[in-house]
Parts: sequence; structure tokens; C-alpha cells
Amino acid sequence: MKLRVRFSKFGPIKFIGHLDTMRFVQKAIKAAGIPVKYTEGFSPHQVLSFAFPLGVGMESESEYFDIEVVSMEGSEAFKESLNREMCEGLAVLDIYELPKKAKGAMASVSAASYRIRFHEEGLAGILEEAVCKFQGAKEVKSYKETKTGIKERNLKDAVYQIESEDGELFFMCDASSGGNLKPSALLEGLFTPYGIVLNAWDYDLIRTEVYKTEEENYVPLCEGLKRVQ
Amino acid sequence: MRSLALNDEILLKIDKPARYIGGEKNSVMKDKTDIAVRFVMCFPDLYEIGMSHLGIQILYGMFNSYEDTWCERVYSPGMDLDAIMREKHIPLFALESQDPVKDFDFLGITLQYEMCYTNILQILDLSGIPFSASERTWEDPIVIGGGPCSYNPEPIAEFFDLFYIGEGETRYRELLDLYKKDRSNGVSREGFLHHASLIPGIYVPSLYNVSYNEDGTIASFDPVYEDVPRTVKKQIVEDLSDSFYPTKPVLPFIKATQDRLVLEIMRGCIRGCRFCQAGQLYRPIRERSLETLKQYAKELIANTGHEEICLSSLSSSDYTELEELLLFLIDECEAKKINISLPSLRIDQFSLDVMNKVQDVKKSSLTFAPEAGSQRLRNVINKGLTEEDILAGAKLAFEGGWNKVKLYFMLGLPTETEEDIRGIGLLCNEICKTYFDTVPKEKRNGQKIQVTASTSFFIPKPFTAFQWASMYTESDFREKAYQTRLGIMDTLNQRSIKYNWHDTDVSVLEGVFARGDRKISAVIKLAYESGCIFDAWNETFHYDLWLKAFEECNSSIEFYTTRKREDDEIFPWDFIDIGVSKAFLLREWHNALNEKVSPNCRMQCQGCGAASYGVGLYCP
Ligand code: SF4
Repeated sequence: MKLRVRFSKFGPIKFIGHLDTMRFVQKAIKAAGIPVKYTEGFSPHQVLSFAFPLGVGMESESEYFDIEVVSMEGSEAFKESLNREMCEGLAVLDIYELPKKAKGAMASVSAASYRIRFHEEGLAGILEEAVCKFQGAKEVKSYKETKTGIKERNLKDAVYQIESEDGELFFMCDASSGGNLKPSALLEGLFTPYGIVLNAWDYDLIRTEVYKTEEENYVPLCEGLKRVQ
Repeated sequence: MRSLALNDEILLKIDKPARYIGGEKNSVMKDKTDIAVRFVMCFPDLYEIGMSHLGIQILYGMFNSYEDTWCERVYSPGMDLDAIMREKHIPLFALESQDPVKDFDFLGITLQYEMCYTNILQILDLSGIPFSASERTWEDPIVIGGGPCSYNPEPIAEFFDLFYIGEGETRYRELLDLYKKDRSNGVSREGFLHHASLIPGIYVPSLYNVSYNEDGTIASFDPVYEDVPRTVKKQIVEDLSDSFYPTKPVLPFIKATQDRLVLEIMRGCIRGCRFCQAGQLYRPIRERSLETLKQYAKELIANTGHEEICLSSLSSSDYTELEELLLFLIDECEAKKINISLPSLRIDQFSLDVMNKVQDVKKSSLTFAPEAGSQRLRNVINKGLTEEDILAGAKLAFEGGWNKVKLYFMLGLPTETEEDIRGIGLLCNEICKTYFDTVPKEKRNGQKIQVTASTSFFIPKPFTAFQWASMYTESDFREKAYQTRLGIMDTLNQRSIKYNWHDTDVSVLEGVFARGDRKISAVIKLAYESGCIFDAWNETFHYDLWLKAFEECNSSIEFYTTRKREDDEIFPWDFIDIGVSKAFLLREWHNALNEKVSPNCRMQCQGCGAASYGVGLYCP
């Protein structure tokens, strides 16, 4: 039986990287007594996969991982027992049943949405203008240095939705394995024309949702799944 | 949610920000308005090292079980953060509350190895606490030291208000109560320290005067006041099954160096290896009951969800109910998918069977610690492991499919000759021969025998029979390592033998600190001020700076290392009573020089003195 777990990550724990968060969650699952399935061999590990790594410094309202359990006995209490074993800043929001044939979390991810709060209040005006311009433009180029040279990309193809309100930026963008757009690349595209360079510590970055594609629509990774409490 | 002492910019720029944010599972938050005593416990090395240490987890859990006390943690900031904190004048802070260390009532520093001494100064420096205890006021926390190095606290005595001599579970409550009482009565800092010195096990360096002979040795060591005890008696837990155990250890987010649950099965050791300090310090031997350990193991697993557990003690093979304990753990851990990492057990059929169950034979290796290359020298050090034992164990293991063997030796032991050193290569060669004789070619499956010999340099430690022994110089050590290598290369099977050896310079310095006196603190301070820090780490160890500091302080390294000590010399640590008597140690020193072996506690009590505690498993 497969389950999809939706959780949030806020506060100081944003400085814990993806792999360490995963190791922590594995321990929590074990401590919670959830009958998770293990691999065979001398050092068995849980059959568990995270949908989309969350970078150091990023918070999230909605993250996902899939686990396989050997029995659903006591499943109505899974969420509660798991939350008891979590730490400050990590909370399990919902648990869903995953149909046998469903795609795994990682392979399903196609888009993600973000919210950005800027520390510098004076930025609000520029932001509004920049977003307006972006919305109206046909093409906004972004350049990324890679091993094979500088890669050019049209941000308009990667950003599906963008708006600003009260000095905050909201957007949804490509998060597929081949085309994932880093939020910092969009910020560069928005602010470079104004000669503004932003560092990771100049804003709070919060992922608000992770999406899969269903019938050409982007829907949250939990959409259509049956909630197990 | 807690706010952090470091801002996002700093945390995103430094290596492993997780070291500094706290918030780990099982870490304890309390409301500071309800708290009478704030204690911050420090392991003066990087977070990953400090978080691997059981002692801190014990005290952390115990203190936090007191309603009036909140214990937090602090570790040495890495060099990157160290620079930022100095530049931006950020005071050192505790992980839980993120409050400055200086605001605490107590700063406890655990002293696990001598090479952390400059890191103690870094902690004080970044906290804004004066180095010298005599310059502190009630604006500063009481700085207290504990752990193995506090059994010769003299080289760092100046930096501490007091030391706790012994096992922490026993006297801290008394100390905290005294502190609360004295503070509410408006007692001076000096007054409090004086009162504290009357608690058994508490050593207040400022209340003792040392005078020296012309040759630099100690002439007298006297208390300043009449009521201050002349000797400080080591405190021990009487019943290990009835003492605090941290079954809810703090779980680090990042991998600690020893990333596993620890089940401490006993304290003390029945074997009287004459070089081993721990074997004497923790006498007499006391065991935790099997039932208690089973219970702890279950709780540890349930409270953490950890994937690995290990046993801890000085010599796990000597635990009287080891077989039952291991069988229980194997069952329990198999069901819960937990790895057992085995301590180094004496190799026999039982331990091989156990290893076979919990490890991948192809990947794991056998470990032997003969410590010396010849039987003669093993008699000198009283290591009751013979060549026959080793070869018989190896044969059994080779039959069971093992083909990797690790051997540990020490170089520079008292009375060592070239022949003893050559014995290291010969023993390794014999092991290879045993392999070829035991495993016929057609059964080797393309595998090869791999023997790894590692040597460290012998450092005489206080409270051992070898506290009288002379230590060698760096160049002697290098020559000995070279001779070892030549000896190995000379053997028939040298291609199957790998040789590793430890750094020499750091061993010499460790030798100075181990048997140092109060005069050394000036050298440590100067070395720190000239840039020495993280001396336990190769990349930050600057021997040249240390040599300069010794020179500038007019202090001679040889006085502490190579000098011959007379039988009746007063040692800097003689005022501490660990139960084991100096007369016993001296007898053992002479036995060593006469190559005479002494039986272990289980075979026949040697009357070491630790029976005075009345709780030793084999004590009369
Ligand atoms: S008193 Fe005897 S049995 Fe007890 S620790 Fe000392 S030597 Fe061993």
C-alpha cells in the first residue's frame, strides 16, 4: 500500500538541507511506529521518496513524500503519531492513499508555486512595475552558466502565472525534472533591468504548492487522492 | 517559533548552519521566567563531534529533569563563523534559547581530550568571559570543568572556577542548591566557591597554593583555608541500574561523527593494562543490569526512530550477561530494522556468530589490539592477549569467511627495544600465514587477505602505572615508525600488510598537557593568542606556533615528556583521590619494569584501593 504525505516546513529548520530533512523524516516514521516497508539486506532502508527537494533557506506550505506501508492497520492515527515525532517547524498536514498504478511523487512533479516577501520595503513599487512589464512582454531572457557554456532561456515559457500584491511576489513556474526554474532566476529577470541584485538573504522564499499535470491542468500533487484522515 | 542569534545572511554563508540553530528533536525548551538556574553545557569542539558524546546527553537530560533548571548546549563555532562573530561582535550563544552564554549561571565544559584546550579559550573569548577565573565577577557564569582531563586539571586550572571530579550523576544537585542559596543570600563569588569546595568531588583551584622545588617539580600543594579538603575524592554512581539515563537523547539533524544510539552497559574495567587511564579512572567495575538495558534499548528506539545502536564500555566482552544482551538486541533490532554496530569483542566462536548475523562478512573486518609486538612487551604493559589467542581467533574467523584484519599497536612503550618493534611485522606476517594455511586456494574466491597495522605513540597518563614513565621525542617517534615500516617490509607477506601511523608532533603536545602543571596555562594562553585553535584537527594544528609559545614562556617540553621521574615525586594530580592508590600504581610500575604480569580483577583482586567505594563487582 502506498501513501502520499503532505507536510509543511517553517522557521529555523529551513536551514536543514534536503538530505538531512529526509533522514529526519525517516526517523520520525520509525519512531511513530508506522508499518513502513523496508528494503532487504544488511542495512535495510525505508521505501520512501520525496517529491521535490527544498533548498536550504526555503520554507514551504506544501511538500510531499511517498511511502509504502505493509499494512493499513491504525492508519486513522498515522498523521497524529507522525506529528508527535516531528520537530519544531515540521508538520504533517494530510495523508492520502496512492492508487497502485499512480506515478510516484518525484516523477509527477511538473510545476511549483512560490511566494516571496522582500525585506527591503522600498522594493514594492519597483516590483509592481517589473511584474507588469513581465506580464506584457513576449520574451524575458535569462542566462544560466552551465558546464557546456551559457544557456539562454525565455522566462515567459517557464513562468505560468505571476502577480504582485502588497510588495509580495506570487508565481507558478516549471518544476519538471528537465526544466525546473529556480526562483532566483526569475528574480534576476525581474530586477536586473533596474540594476538591483538580490541575495538569498534579502527575501523570504516560501514554496506554496507542488503540482502535477492532469489533463493539461496543473493540480496539487494530492488532487484526486483519497484522504486517510 | 524561536528567533535565532545569527541572521539569514550569516547562516546562508557559513558551512553547516544546522550546527547553530538548535531545535533538534528531544532538545529541551523551557520558560526562562520559571527557571532558577540556567546551565549551558559545552563540548569544546565542532557540533558533530560534541553531539556524538554520551556524557553530555546524560547531564543534559538529568539537569532538564530538574524543574528549577534549564540546561542548554553550546559547541565550538567553526573557523568560518568564528571570524564572522569576531568581526561583527556577536557574542557566543546557547543553541536552545539562542541567548548569550555570558547570561547563564553556569558554563560547564567537558574535557574529553587534551587537544581541545585552546578551544576552551575560544569559547570564553567569544562569550566575553575573562580567561582567568580570578578576574571574573557575578556578571560571568561559574565556569566548571569535568570529564577525563579533569583528573589532571592543573594545566587549565587558571581558566576554571571549579572542576567536578567524578561521574556527574551524583553531586550536581547539591551544587545547584548551594548556588541558589548563596545567590539569594547575597554571598560573594569567592564565598560561593569556598562553600562549593566543601562538596565532595568539587575542586576549586583558586583555593590551593602550589610551591615548586628548584628543579621545577612540586614541593607542596596546600589548601588556602583550613576547612578546604586536602584531597578531592572522585565521585561515582553506586548503582548504575538506578541512575539517570538519557533515553530521549537529542537527535542532531546533520550526521554526527558517531551517529547512533548508545547503550552504556558498564563502567570500569577488570583488566589492568598499565598504559590505560580510563581503566583506572573508572574503577571499580559496575554493571547495568540486563533488565535495565533491555528497557533502555526499547525506550531509546521508540523515542528516536534511530537506525543504529551500539554498546558502550571499556571492554564489552567482560560484561557478565553479554550473550543474553546481544541475543535480545539481535531479535529486537531485526524486527525493527535497526543496525547493531558491535563494539570490538574478543574474537571467539560466539562473537563471530554474532558478527555474522549483524554484519556483512565480506565488508567487515576483525579487530585485535595487541598494543605491543612481542610477548615480552605485552607482559610489561599487562595486556593479556597472546600470539596464540590472536592466531586462534584469526583462524576461526578465516574459516568463517573473513579476510580483513585490523591490528592496533603503540610505539614508544616503556622498555621497548628494536626487537619489540620488529615483532609487529612478524605478528602481521603470522596472521597472513594463518590465512594461507587455513583457507585453501580454491576457497579464496579471488579474495585476498588484508592486514592493516596501525600504530599510535604511547603517551604516559596520570593515574596509570606508567605515570612515572619517560616519553620519547618527535624524532624518536619518527624513527620508531620508520623501523616498524621496515620490519613489515621485511616479511614474506608484506604485500598483504598495510601500515598507518599517527602524527608525532601532536602526540608530544598531548604528552605535555597530560602530565602538565599550572605553569602550562601561560603557554596555552599564548599559543591561543598567537592563533592556535582546533589543535585536534590536522589542518588547523600549528606545531611551530606551539614551539614558539613554549620558548617565549621559558617552558621546557622535555621537563614534561622525556624527564625521568623519581618514585617519590609529587605529581600535579596527586591531590585527587580516584580510589586507586598511588602505592598500587607504583607497585604496578615496578612489576612492569620486571616484566611481571598481574592478574585481572576477576581472577584475583590486586588490592588497588577502589574497593573503598564498596560497590565494585569483583572487589572484596
Ligand atoms: S579492589 Fe581489587 S577487584 Fe576492586 S577494582 Fe581494585 S583490583 Fe579490582
